[in-house]
Amino acid sequence: MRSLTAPRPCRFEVEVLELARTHRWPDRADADLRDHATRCDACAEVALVATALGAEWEAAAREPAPPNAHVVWWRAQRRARVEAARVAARPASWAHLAAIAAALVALAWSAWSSVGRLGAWLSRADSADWVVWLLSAAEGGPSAPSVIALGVLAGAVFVALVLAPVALWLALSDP
Amino acid sequence: MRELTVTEIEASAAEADVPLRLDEEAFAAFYERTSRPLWAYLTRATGDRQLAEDLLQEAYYRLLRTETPFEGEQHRRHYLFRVAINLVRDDQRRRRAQPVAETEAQDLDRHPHPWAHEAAADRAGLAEAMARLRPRDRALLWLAYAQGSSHHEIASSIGVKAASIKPMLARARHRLAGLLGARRVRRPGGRDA
Repeated sequence: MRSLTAPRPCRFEVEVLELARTHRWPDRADADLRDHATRCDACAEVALVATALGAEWEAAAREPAPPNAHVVWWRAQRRARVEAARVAARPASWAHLAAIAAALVALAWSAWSSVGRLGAWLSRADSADWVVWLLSAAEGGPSAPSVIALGVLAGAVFVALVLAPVALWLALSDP
Repeated sequence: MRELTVTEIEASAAEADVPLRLDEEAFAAFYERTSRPLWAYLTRATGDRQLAEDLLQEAYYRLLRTETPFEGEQHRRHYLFRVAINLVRDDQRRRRAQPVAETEAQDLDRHPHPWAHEAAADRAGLAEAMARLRPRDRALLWLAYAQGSSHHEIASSIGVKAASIKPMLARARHRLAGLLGARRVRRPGGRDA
């Protein structure tokens, strides 16, 4: 059974390796060295592996060449530019995100304060006041919150609930 | 955060200043000296020309963009090889992490035989044996016995101490010799390589 551990190094390994690299192993090797290699595991392994990989190296030299240097350079240049532009664009994107967040906070605050005022007015009003208010609002009377103010409130709620999530989704999603 | 579109990026990229570590002429000269051996390693380590080309491109790109101060041509060359070896290892890890069915299908399709994209009988035997080694052992053996690199050069490329190379190489060589020997024994009327 073959040993799992590597054989002890041999002082002839270097010589065997040189012969294998230069295509002189085993035919043009010294008879004593060939004889030694039949008994020395280290030298036998060097000869086997160096011959096989040396042949593979030579086969590689006959294969089609790698891509042209100019092609590799051009691709690298292009990618470097794309990455540089991406990095340069990053702060602007963060600024956009910060602006959207600030706008959302302002809208939420505005909506909250309007809802608070409306709630206070509604808690003071009874059903008769509602009728009066509707009539007054329809005629543009002064006894109720103006229709314009309510329109602004409704718009703010719409923006906060519908448009802002859509804007956020557009800002955060991948193209 | 929204990613910019390719068109937007390319439009602004035309104006961008992107210093690379070499100018085109110096790069072309370095490439001529290094691309052949790197290409030979990558085509064998991946068994896939397209993948090898992608990794070659990536290795040179990282070399061009790195902040590492190079002490000279040799240092730059070793860095390039180290990047390539790591790219191959990462690719193989990634493929191993894929679901089994996908990996098998891919192995049959894209990687019919790592290390043996155009193998004759003996070369296929080598390819089969190399494929069963660990990526670092493959790199070690390739650098030592195919490229003929010194222990110091291998150490720089692999990223270990030079003193560690000799025992590491002996172990890797022992494993490969065992696999090659076993294959020869299995082969009907097997002859020595």
